[in-house]
Parts: sequence; structure tokens; C-alpha cells
Amino acid sequence: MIKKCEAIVLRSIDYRDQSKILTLYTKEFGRISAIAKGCRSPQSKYASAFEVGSHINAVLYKKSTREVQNISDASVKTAFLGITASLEKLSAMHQIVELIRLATEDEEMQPKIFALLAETLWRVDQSKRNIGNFFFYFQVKLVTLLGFKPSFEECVLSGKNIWKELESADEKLLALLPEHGGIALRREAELRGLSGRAISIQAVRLIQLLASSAMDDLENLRLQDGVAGEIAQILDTYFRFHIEDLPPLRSREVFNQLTQ
Amino acid sequence: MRYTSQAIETLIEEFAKLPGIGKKTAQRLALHVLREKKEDVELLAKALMDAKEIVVYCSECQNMTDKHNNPCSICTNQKRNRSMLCIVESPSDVIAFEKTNQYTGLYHVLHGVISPLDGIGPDDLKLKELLARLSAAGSQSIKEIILALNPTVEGETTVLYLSKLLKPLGLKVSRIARGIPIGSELEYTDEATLTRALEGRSDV
Repeated sequence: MIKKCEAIVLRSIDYRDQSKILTLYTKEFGRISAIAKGCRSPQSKYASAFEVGSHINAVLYKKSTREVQNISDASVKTAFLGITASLEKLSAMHQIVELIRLATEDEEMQPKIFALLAETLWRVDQSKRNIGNFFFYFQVKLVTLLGFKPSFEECVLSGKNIWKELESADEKLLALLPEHGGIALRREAELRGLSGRAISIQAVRLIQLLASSAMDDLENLRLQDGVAGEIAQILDTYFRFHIEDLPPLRSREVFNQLTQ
Repeated sequence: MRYTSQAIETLIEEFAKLPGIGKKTAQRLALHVLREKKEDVELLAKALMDAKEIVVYCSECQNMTDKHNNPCSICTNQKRNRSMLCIVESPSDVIAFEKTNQYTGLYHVLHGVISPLDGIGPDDLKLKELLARLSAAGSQSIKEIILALNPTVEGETTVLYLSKLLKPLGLKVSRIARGIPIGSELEYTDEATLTRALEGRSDV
């Protein structure tokens, strides 16, 4: 059956001499695999549509019995050409598309995830500074949409408001307990014999701020390198616990080498 | 076994492993080999073995050359412009540039591009060889580096990384233009190509 869809290209692998096998995140069908036959030939009208990160309109010849769908036509909806202007933007874009490819299942329609993906890529394309914030924002929103919203306000063990408790406490320590769904006061964790990962108050505050900020404001939020590293570790640990078999992001390893 | 001879079946399977060769073409090639004279088949077999045994990467540009012709004929040609170095992804790109008869400088073949989603980083390319070449005493004559990589996301990533790596060396770093193929029509050109063509417009 012929179906039109809106999609973001998550992966593009050359197949034989002139074709490509693609992983797409579509608004209508969720994540799907598709083949674009002949798209690499010089005569092809839609070669540029299948670059990683492109926002496209595609026409699929879709069969429910087939794992790899056929693409019969495609056109670029938003080219995101600004992303190729800096390694920082390319890093954010690659990590976003890799994470969504690894964290979502085939053919699970989630229009909100599609909207988040398209909007975040557009912001990465348009923004000029602090691009890494968009990836953190994306991680927090994605894990929420996948049903594992982290709690950064209340202690996941006692239910007490973390920030009120910390005002009066001598020991201002927090612990990350992904198995309980978020952050706990360190002393509450110790009382229950739990040893979560110790995390700084500053990092948790910033994650909260990133999650509650409007996308317009993200590029104005400057994070120190040390805190950005801690935020990345917290979000990675949380993601890995909730998304089964989530491997480390290859693109992050490569971009770490490129930006050294 | 689909064929009455195990030897034919093996030959077809081996041909079918080649890029762009399907089962049907592999079968056609195998039957062609069988119809050929023994001497011709020996020549083909020898050519295949020679290519595997004699061909090496040029110690200068990393393009393919013969063992006994290393550095390659392009690197040793004193008539070429030794102040320009064109960086390409693969040996086939060198062939494409040589066909133009316009470029007379030297080359460096990376044998790939940075592909973050596949885990291919700078250490997987011939970049150490490039830096060694640029820092070698004899290569001080190189003044300009032309980055001639495909206009894909991977190519752009490699271009950005290379420019970051090479600009501090005081070299002029340029990249080839991106735009509309000669003979094609604007009406049918995609938005991304048109945008790039507008960005790279030149005075007339």
C-alpha cells in the first residue's frame, strides 16, 4: 500500500552500487527500515534527501509483512544545512539520532517523540552556542516520553521535597537511584542500605533547569566542562538502566576524539 | 548443489562476492571463463594474483601503486605542481580528478571518511601519514590543501576536522565547490544543492 510519511533519517548505509538502506523515524509509523533503490545514481532526484539527520517527506510502498519497506519518492522538508557548520553541532545531531535509533522500537508510532526529534534538530541547526545543552534537553524529554520520567524534585525513597530538606540538612548530598526513578537524599539511601551514585546538587539543579527551560533559552545557558561531564554521566546512567542493552554511543566516542 | 560441477558452483560463488555482481552475472562470467582458452584464463588468474601481490599503498600519497614503483608516478613527477595537495577519500577519486586534466598538483588518499555512527574516527584514516608528510623536510613546498571530499554528512565532518587540524600549520586550506551539475536544470535541483550553490556563487 502506498503511504506518505514525514521522517527523520537516523541512519543511511550504502547498499550495492546505487541504493541505500535507511533507518527512519517517521511521524506516522515510528522507527522503520526502508530501502531507497537507485538513490545514489547520478540521475536520482532525491540523493540529498537521505543524509543522516535530514527531515524528509517520503512515499513508501509499505507492506506489513516486510521488514524493509520500499521508498518510491522523497523530498527534503528541512535540510538542516547549518548543522554541518561546526563539529559541536554535528556531535549533537549524531548523538540525538543515534540515541533515538537505539532507544526506540520498530513501528511504534509516537508522534510526540517525532515532534521532539524534529524540533531539537531544528534548534541545533539554528543555534549558535552551547549546543551540547540541546542533547541533554533531548535526553531528559525522550526518557520522559518513553515512560521513565525522572524525579528531581522529591526524594524517590522518602517522598520529601529534596530542596527543602537540603536547606535544613548539614550534609548536602544526593544519590542517583535509577532503579527507583530518580534522585534521593543520600541519608535516606544510607538508611535503607542503598548505595546510589553520589551526585552534586549543582548538576541536579542544572538538569532541572534544562528540562524546564524553553528551547529558546537553552543556547544562553553556559555549563562548565566539569558539570557538563557530570550531567552527561547522570543522564547516561539513568538511560542505561531503563533502556535494556543500550550500548555507549559510538558517535560520542568519535566526537570526543575530534574535539580533543 | 545447483550445478553438476562443484568447481563451477565455487567459481560462481566467488564471482558473486564481487561488488555489483549478482548470481546471474556471476553465472554468466563463470560460463565465459569456461569457454575461454586455457592461456587466457591463466592470464586472468595471473592478473588477479599480481594485483594482490604487487599493489601496495604509495608511501607518499597512500594511493595504490606497484611495489617496484613506490612512490607512485604522480608523487615522483617533477612536472606536477608540488605546492598543492588535494585530499580525497578513495583511489577512485584520484582517477576522477586525473580524468579532468585540470588538476596538476599532488594527492593524498584518506581511504575513508570519519563516520561517527559506524564508530570510524580519525585513527582509522590515513591522517598520521598526512601529518608526517606535511611535517617532513621535503614537503615544505606545500602551500595549499584542497579538501575534495563527498558532500555528505560524513564528508563534512571530515572536512571540519581536517581544517581544524591543518589551519594551525599555516597552510591555505580550501574545499571544492558544491553546486549544480552541468547540463541539469534548476527546476529539478533539490533545495539543499540549490542553497549550497547560492552560498558558493562567484563573480562574473
